[in-house]
Amino acid sequence: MRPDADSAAHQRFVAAARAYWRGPLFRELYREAQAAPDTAATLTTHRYFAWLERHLQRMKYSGPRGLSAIAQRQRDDLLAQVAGPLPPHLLALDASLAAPDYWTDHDIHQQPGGLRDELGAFVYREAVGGGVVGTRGLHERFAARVVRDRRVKRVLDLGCGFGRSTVAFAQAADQAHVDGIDLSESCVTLAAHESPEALRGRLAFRQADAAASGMPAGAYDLVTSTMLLHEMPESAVRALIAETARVLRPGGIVAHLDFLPPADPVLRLLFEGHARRNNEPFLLEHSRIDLAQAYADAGFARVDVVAFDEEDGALAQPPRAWRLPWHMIVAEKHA
Amino acid sequence: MPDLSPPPRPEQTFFADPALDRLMGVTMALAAEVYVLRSRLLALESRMPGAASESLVPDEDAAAFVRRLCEPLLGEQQARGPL
Repeated sequence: MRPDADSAAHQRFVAAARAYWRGPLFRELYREAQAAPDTAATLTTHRYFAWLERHLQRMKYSGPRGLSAIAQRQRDDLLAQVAGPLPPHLLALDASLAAPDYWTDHDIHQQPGGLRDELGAFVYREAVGGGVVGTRGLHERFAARVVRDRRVKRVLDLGCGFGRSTVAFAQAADQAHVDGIDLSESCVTLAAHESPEALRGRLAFRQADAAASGMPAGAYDLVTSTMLLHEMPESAVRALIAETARVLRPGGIVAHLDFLPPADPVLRLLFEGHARRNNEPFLLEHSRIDLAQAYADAGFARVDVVAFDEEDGALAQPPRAWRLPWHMIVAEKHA
Repeated sequence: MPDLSPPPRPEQTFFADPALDRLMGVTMALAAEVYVLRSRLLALESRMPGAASESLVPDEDAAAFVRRLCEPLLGEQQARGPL
């Protein structure tokens, strides 16, 4: 997107304020909270931390200089970017797809209209260009770790968004065909149109529900998702686990990159607060699932959960900045 | 025609007195406006005869502006005095 000068300045202000919020203000809060972690929520610094988390996100997306308004002012130009012809295999939309209630009842991340709006993917892409979840190279780092030492020929990327994760897996597994699916028409459309020419023969994007994908049974060596599970209620996550077992071949792998609550009581307080402040109503639900039992019930041999450092030094203690508690959840289906 | 749009949901609050939440909103809105105006002014000044040849880096200028704005939130004395 190309914002006007005033909107660009507004976004620059918000980005700088967010950097202050997750850096110096967080470090001061973390320091103060060590004296009494159980009452950290009542600290004045915590109240300002919480307010800024909530409202800097609002200022980023909403208002006349927010990302949604910027996108609306460029509506015709943006839609023209995804209006051209594509190779027939690259994009499949499903106008009859029934969007689940959990997806339509909330504007996740405080993005007005969420990813349901036809410009939603453009807004989301701009929003994650930098910031807490926009760590440069995160998708490539995850994909490289997952496919390392594994022969992967066919990959299914659940909740693929605008395709960053899908492309990362196609690059990491250089012989693999990668299918990306997402509920959002806007996302899969943008993903297909912006996919690298050199990879298009090995990519396909489809509008579909990860919990009932309609993809062929036993067809995939690897099923993956990035930042998907925490956006689904527990019932949908359980359905997704069963669907994953259905589409994987025997011995296949599922690898999710998502968030699980930190053990540190102060970081846990901030993570749980983040759920409400960032309009993530299901953030805590999948962490309540006994993943080992759920995957065993679905026919998986083992499940490993490990902390994921999205960049070098990210797991340092004490933490240098507020970050989301990334984890890799990897399970292997019985051969 | 009756308005069938869903009613707005009340905003979350974080302070004991919600008046502070709303006042913070006004303060930050004003700060954003000041920064937008500052950016306009710097752009105009950079075009004036005799303007410094080295221009500010916008991201660094924004970071410095925010530091000045938000420093009071840390609640630290700038010169040592009684607690």
